[in-house]
Amino acid sequence: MEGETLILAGPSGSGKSTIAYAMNGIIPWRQKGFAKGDVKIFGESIWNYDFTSLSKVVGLVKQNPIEQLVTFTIKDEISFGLENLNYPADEINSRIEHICRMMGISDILDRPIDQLSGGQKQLTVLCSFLVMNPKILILDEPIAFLDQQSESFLLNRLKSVVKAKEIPLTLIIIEHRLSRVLDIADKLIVLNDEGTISLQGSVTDIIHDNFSQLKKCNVRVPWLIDVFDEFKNQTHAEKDFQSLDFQFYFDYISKLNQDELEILQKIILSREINAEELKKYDNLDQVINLNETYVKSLKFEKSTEKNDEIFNNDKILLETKDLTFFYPNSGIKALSNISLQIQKGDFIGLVGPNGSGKTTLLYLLANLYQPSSGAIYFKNQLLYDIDSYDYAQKVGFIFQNPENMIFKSSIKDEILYGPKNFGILSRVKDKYLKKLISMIGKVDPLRNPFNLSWGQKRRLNLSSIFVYDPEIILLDEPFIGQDQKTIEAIIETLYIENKRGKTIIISSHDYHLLLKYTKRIIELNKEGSIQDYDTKSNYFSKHSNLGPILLLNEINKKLNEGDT
Amino acid sequence: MTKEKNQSLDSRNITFAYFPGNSVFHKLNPLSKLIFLILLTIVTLITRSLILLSMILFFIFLLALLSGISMKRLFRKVRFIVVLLFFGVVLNIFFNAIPNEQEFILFYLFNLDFLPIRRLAVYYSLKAFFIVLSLFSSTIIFTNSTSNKDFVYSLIKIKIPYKYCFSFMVGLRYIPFIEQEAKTIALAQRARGFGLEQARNIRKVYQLIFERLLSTLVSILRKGHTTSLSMENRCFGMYKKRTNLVNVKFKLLDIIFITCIFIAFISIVLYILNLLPLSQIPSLYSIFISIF
Repeated sequence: MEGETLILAGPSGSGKSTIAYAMNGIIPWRQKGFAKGDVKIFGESIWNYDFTSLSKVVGLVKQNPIEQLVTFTIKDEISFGLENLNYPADEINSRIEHICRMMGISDILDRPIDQLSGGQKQLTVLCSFLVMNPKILILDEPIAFLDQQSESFLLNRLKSVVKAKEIPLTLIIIEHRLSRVLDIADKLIVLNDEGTISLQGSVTDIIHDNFSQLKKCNVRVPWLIDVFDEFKNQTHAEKDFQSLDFQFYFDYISKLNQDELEILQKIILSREINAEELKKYDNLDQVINLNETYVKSLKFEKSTEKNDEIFNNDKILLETKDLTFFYPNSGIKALSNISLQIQKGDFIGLVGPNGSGKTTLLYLLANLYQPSSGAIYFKNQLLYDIDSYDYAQKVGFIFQNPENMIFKSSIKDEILYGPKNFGILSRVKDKYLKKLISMIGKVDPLRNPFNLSWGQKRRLNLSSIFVYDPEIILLDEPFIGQDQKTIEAIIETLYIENKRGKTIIISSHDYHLLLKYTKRIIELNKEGSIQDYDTKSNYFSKHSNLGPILLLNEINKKLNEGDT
Repeated sequence: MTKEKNQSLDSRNITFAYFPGNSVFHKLNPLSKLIFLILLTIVTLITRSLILLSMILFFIFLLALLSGISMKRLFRKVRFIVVLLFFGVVLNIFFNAIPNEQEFILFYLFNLDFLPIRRLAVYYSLKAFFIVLSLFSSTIIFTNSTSNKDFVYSLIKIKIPYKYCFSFMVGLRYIPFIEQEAKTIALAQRARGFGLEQARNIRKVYQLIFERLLSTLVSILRKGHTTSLSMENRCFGMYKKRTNLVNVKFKLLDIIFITCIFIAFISIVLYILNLLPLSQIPSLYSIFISIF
């Protein structure tokens, strides 16, 4: 319906982007294939348009802002579309002024694109479409590449525009993290793996009547609603929990009795803080009745000799002392005096805004960069003194873009790339290789890995490093662009690997996942030094602004009040 | 900090990147500077005098200072090419420019008969050194003082089809991208045990380069596809003409500059062609002859 805001959710490969392309004309005019049926835009078949004239009606903002920016300043970028449409300069200027005032970026119009934050870049792309007055605007996972600060910045601006209804706009947002966008949406459509609709309706109706079904749909449901839905099931409370407003739940908590507060506390702890559902993997010797081939493959590769060493947690595996890093030739400091100790079997979450040096720290720990000053020790031995080739075998590195670590033309060769380079090819048994291939899904081992889906490529990356059994696994933003099912599979796999004694360091903006699954959090600040470095529970107590902690603190306060 | 980091990735490490400034050279229209560059290239290529070439090089160094580029920065940027040229000069003087012309031999290196040093070979290799260094340095001054934006929009202004100009613009924007992507891919290779240290024979080096290029190409093509769709989504190429809000103007300064450089150019050409009533600057070659 005109003027509505619709969320399109579903797993990767379910066809969300394909639908967007079909509405926008990329299909059939720019992407060939077999198409049946028709798409009607305001009653008119898309076959009656050509690509550029349809672009005037339907705009499409994609995930990564850097790939969409063409010019050099915010103003040039926003005016780009109108200049192409040959509008008079005066009209272009007045439209730009209007949009920028509405979005609150009038004062930074002349700022170079290179100097913008991720959120400002994406907002610039958004404005460059809005200024053309499209009837429909599709946002294809617009916050996927943004850090938390940039994400909030963009969403707040977007929400204010949608709520003010200053522009008569139909908005379609493709996003599987529903909590981010649910409060501005009127309708929700969820696709399944086969590319058909598994759920559709108004947001209110779906949350009220079909919430349990929504949870099964491979999307991330808002944790607040999820927690209180469980609470409702356990206590048979009569209230409807559809709001995403914190204050609503705060007010509600104040009305709960001691027993109800305790139930709620348990639910929050098990859902958001402790990875209860993964406890089943703690004892790997017990028979696991799961269709999880990966777990079975671990059982068959597990060696007792390694486990004895692994569970000796007293040993410090990696240690950095006053680690500092300057970008070569520029003299700009990326990391400053980082001193930390990482024990064998640690599971560390690395957080911080974009540009705080998370990736640089991971590169240094993987010996891919050399420190400008300070030192890194691996098992009390200076990393500099260890043969880099030997050390590379002990570290598995997952890069942000899954395609950046694919080099071969078949899945099998890709998995065997590491062992071949390390000269340990003969140690990889056929049976284990098959298990690693099956981790990716039902795929032909000779298939070209570049043709896999985004989620499958990420699983392939994991297979490619597990094959040489590294002691340390470093992951740089592994969840970007991944659907809920892949994210869960990755985190589950990492949890099991950690239980097997692997040391894992994962950098991510998804603090919900890190809070739940990691043992410790290291937070870097914009200056590239350590902001916080603590066990998970201590980190929680210091960062009470994090959603679940905020609620838990409030519940604790109420419980204590009750006791006194 | 983040802002500085971005700049470091985008410009500081790239020889031909733009540096904002307020010098006279920065204030000139990019086309004026381009005309200057073309005329300078012509003069450099047609002159035979090494003295004139060294004067041009000196003039270019002055121009660098005028455009706010310190000698230290300029030398840092040209040191790679200077090292290459130095090897070129050394290598060139061992070759005979005109075979069988024995009288041009200056001396024999280490008194060895098979190592004759010939005057013409010295002359040509020094000439090549001055030409390449002059052109390289002047291009650096041009790119360091000309923003990509001004350059592209001034090309549009002289009626070069905007589609080509924007392709060029996107290309310029992609340079840091490609550099960054290639670096990451090289690190990904090293992380899985395949770095330069492991490429011990030609087949391995070929494999290393091929894999690196393939992954970089796939990544850049994918990004490039998104960029082109994003441009088309904003109606790029819909009409033959497009409005240009950015108007790079020709100012009085440009007119004065272009007049000066044309006068200088014509004078130098006339002088080179012996059409000016001035005594010739002795060529370095003639100095060589008089010495030896």
